Amino acid sequence: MNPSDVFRFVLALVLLPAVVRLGRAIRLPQGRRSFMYGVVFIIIGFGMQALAPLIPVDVRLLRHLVFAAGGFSLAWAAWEARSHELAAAEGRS
Amino acid sequence: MIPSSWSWTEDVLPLLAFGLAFVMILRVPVRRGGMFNGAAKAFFATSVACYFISTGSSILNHFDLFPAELDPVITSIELLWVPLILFGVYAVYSNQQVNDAVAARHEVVRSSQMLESVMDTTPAGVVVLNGDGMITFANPEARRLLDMEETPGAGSPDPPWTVLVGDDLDADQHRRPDFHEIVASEPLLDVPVAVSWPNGWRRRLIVNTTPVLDDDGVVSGAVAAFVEREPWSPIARVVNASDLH
Repeated sequence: MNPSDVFRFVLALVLLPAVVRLGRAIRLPQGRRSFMYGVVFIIIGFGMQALAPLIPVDVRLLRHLVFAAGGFSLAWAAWEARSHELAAAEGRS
Repeated sequence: MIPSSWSWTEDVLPLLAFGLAFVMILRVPVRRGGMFNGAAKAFFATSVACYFISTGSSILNHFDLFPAELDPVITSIELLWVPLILFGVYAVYSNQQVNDAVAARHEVVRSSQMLESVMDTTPAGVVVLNGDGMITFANPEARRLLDMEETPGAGSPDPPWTVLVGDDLDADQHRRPDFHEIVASEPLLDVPVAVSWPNGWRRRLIVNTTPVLDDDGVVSGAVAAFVEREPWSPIARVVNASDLH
């Protein structure tokens, strides 16, 4: 196992509760859910990368797909945030 | 690595995903009172950019265009994602808290202005009393009825008048230069109060009070509203008592 991958995974797991608690307090329901999915997908990707030697099957393709899903979820969260901010600026929310 | 070993799903898809996220974050508007401030946007954009750079370097690796000595840098950049995303969420959260505080402050200012307007225009005298019955605030009508030029503050001298609670205007006992007797733990309704000046001039008031409680539920003062029970005379209503001293 690559020590830096393991360290990154452990660090992400340690900080995950803080991210979740702060994220839940943000008043942006749709964007918040997408953001959480994105963070969780990426941390799962970290885990697959860190623990790859312990996994009997090749998860490389799946890992990249999980990272991509995380990226798209973050993009969707940013889109929701942008829509929310534009609507708020126009007084529609 | 050879160019043929790279694939859409392994390399291009994550690159597209994080590139799209990066662009989307950059397009989130920053406005006063909004959810995002500059710091939050910068943290999120940087965190996503870390992975955009990482996936980009992976593609460059397939074409032997990425220097091998930079691999540790990429590892560090990937590691940065974790704290940066936390900082980003914290920045949004703290910005939200600041916005709430600013909105609450504006609401307090609006309420204060409205209360001040009511105090200035009401035909009843309204005073705020501390626990000793001393006046800490008086609206214009209260200042007129009690012949005060301005709201007394801490350390102000005792007023020239004395207060007697009850209907017996000739009783000399319990006269004090404050409203101590009407500071109670329960609201009082229609309490007759006489205010007397040294020159014999006096006003009879009907007073309602409501207690002011501190955080521990202990009475720390009262708000009293009063009207004149029997105007002294039409002339007395327009002549200041100070002119009669």
